[in-house]
Amino acid sequence: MTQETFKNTVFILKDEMYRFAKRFVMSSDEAEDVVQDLMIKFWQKKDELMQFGNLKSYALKSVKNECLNRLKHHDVKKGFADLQLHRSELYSMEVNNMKEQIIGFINQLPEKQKMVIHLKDVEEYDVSEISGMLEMEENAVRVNLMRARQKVKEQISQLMSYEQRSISG
Amino acid sequence: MNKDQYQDKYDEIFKDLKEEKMNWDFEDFLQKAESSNNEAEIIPLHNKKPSFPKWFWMAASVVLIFGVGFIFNLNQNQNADFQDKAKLVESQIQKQKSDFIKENHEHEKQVAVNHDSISEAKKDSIFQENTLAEKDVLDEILSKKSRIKKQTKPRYVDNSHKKYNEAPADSTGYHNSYVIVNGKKIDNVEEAINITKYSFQVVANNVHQTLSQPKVMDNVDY
Repeated sequence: MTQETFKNTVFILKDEMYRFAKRFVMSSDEAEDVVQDLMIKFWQKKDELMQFGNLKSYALKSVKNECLNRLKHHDVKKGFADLQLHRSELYSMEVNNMKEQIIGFINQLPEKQKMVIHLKDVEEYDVSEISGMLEMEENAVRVNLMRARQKVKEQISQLMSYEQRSISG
Repeated sequence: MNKDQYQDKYDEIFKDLKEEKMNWDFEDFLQKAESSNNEAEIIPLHNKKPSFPKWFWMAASVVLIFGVGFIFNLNQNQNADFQDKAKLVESQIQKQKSDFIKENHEHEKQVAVNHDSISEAKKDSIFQENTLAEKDVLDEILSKKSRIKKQTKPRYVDNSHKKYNEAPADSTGYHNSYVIVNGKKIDNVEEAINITKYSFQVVANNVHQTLSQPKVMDNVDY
């Protein structure tokens, strides 16, 4: 695989990988770190990459595994309580409007719902593609998507009604 | 507030998410990848060739240890067998010895007698067999004459007290004495007195010719 081929087939997935990584890890910096590490690994094994078939699917799976590994490592290092504290501090700094709050809420969804809603509504994959990527039944993908959307919309309605009340009050 | 507004907000949020991009050039990536490549390719973690002798020697040492253990174990078993056998033999010998002592503790009962036939002699006791075994060696050394003499071997017979005890013992411990008259043993007192009286009478009758008149000897105490 030449540099040009790598750039056009693998490196262009960096934004998608970055966005997907942000659903799992705490900060943008850590998401960038994940993508950089994975890109370097892909580069080192660039000759074997073609045998994995769908590169997009392979890249997103790699992102998911890398992020979960890091979270596990992070949990071990700092403990769950510290992690929660860190997360709450982080969000209290970032959450200054409704959009940030909704993104934070999406990040706190259960893992499957979070991945499904991201791949469907952000990356705009088909249900069949998502089921292939996440190794889930299509029905399960649909159910998870429906539940995730419902939760997010409920959250939006709550926040909007709260905003309306605070403005009117 | 209707559902469209929620949907608009939802779409807006996801549109923003979609526009997020990572600020990273391919050139920067290449630079980083090259530098990490140089660092990464230095140390091969698994080298097959050195690992083979290590495994070989480990396997050989394990086999050796097991082999030594097996031989040692086998030897122990053999020793144990040998010791068992030795103990068995020792116990048998002691048992036979104790039996022998039990049977032959009364040496007074045993007296030496001579028998002509060897087959009868073998019935008697172990002493005899020992003497026979010794004689086998002696036969080769001694002359023919001496050998013939040697064939008369000592024999042991049972000389128990049963024969003495056949006559009921007196409670006073009195043992009958006896007299011999014309080579006949008489141990009854009455009979002995009668025979004595008769004898005196015979003597008295015979001396009648020389004496004027024989007199009965009444003052004789028996």
